[in-house]
Amino acid sequence: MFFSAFAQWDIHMVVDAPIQNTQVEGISYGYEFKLHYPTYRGTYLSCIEELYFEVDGERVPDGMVEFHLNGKQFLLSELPGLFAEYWHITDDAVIRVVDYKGLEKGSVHSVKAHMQHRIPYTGYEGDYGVEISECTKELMVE
Amino acid sequence: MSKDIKIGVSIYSFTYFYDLKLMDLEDLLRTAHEMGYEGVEIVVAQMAPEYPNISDEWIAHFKELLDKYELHLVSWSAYIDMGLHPDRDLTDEEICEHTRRDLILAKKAGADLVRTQHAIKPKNFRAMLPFCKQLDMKLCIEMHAPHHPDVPVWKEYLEIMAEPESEGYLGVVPDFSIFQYAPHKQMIENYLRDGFREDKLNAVIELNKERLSAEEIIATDDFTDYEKNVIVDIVGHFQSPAKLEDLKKLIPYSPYIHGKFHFLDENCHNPCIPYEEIIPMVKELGFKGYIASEYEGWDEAAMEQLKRYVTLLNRLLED
Repeated sequence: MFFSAFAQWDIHMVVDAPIQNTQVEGISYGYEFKLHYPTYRGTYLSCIEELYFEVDGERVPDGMVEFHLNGKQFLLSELPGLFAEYWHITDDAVIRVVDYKGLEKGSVHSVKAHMQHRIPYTGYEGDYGVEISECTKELMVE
Repeated sequence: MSKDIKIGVSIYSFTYFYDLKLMDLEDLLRTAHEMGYEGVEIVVAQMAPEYPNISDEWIAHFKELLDKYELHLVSWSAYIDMGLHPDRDLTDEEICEHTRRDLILAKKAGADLVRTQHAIKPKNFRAMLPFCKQLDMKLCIEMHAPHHPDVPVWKEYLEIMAEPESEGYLGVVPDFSIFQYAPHKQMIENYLRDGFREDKLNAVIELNKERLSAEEIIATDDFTDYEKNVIVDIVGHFQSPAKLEDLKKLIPYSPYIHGKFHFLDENCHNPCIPYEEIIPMVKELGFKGYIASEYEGWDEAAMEQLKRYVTLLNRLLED
């Protein structure tokens, strides 16, 4: 939005923290980084209208992304139905990318997040305020 | 010092520090106490970690902190999240259910007031009266810019508040943003950063005060498309602020006021909200309750700004 004050939070959306390679039962299957909800209060996951990621300039297929929050693992395709899952602003979501190779320790990667999210208390009769937040960070693999 | 009017703070004012995890809830409450504030407002959707399914354990923890720092919980600030679902608005019944939940949680937490939003709709607002009476709780709608008492839906709300049975239960929280007549310092800085030429912006701000329309202002000079958009925005937001006399329509139903601000200068003067005129009028009208500072700068200047607010209000409230 042209004059949105919320935009000032966008630079915090991809969290400044190292990328970690992830395992399940000791078997590597991808890597993860953290995502911060970019406004002054939290939101319901059902208010996320679009969320995608690019790593080193390449779009990560949505089906290869897991969204972890509140101790649970969600698929991106499940988000619109999650009207009872609240994303608190001090709880960063963990984004896991399924990538069997993982990423090389010590390497640096460009991580971009794009999120279109509805502000549920603005506007009426379906005419809600919608924010588009983007953030790119250079993150090192730990 | 007027004994009827106390100074509180919405801990939302510390958003920068809380959001970036530089301070936790206890840090904010201790800081509010040290600055001289007597009461606090909490925006629960922002600072209650289990929101909206808040446990008794968290409420007990919150009450302990309030006791520790000698703070009265002035307001439990709630939302009407009409757009919660992707494909529909909340129904009237859901609006009432959400509001009932907030009233119960607020009561448990020791507040006697829930601040809600005008999206509640007049019929739902009125429908909450029996429950407010049952719990002995106030339900108050925030009046925020660009609204004022002559906005049609607000005329309806004020009529409901004026009904004898509503007294002490259904009211309004005026937010001083309704009196803002010019863009604040941060907005001006953003406009300049994004390319609005300073001499032209200063001229536009003055022409807006003279109530020229956006088209008339645009016709006075050679503006870029960006500058034209900003002019439309400035006129839309700041040309029709509430009148001071409007307080006469609000204060009789106001147990609580939001002291909105974005910037106080070194003399604790606000350049775009006329505090020096508002506060004497609030006193004269016999307001009893808290005025809570609501700093909306979302930056680290909050600390200095919130101290200046205490100085400003203490000065204006002196008898």
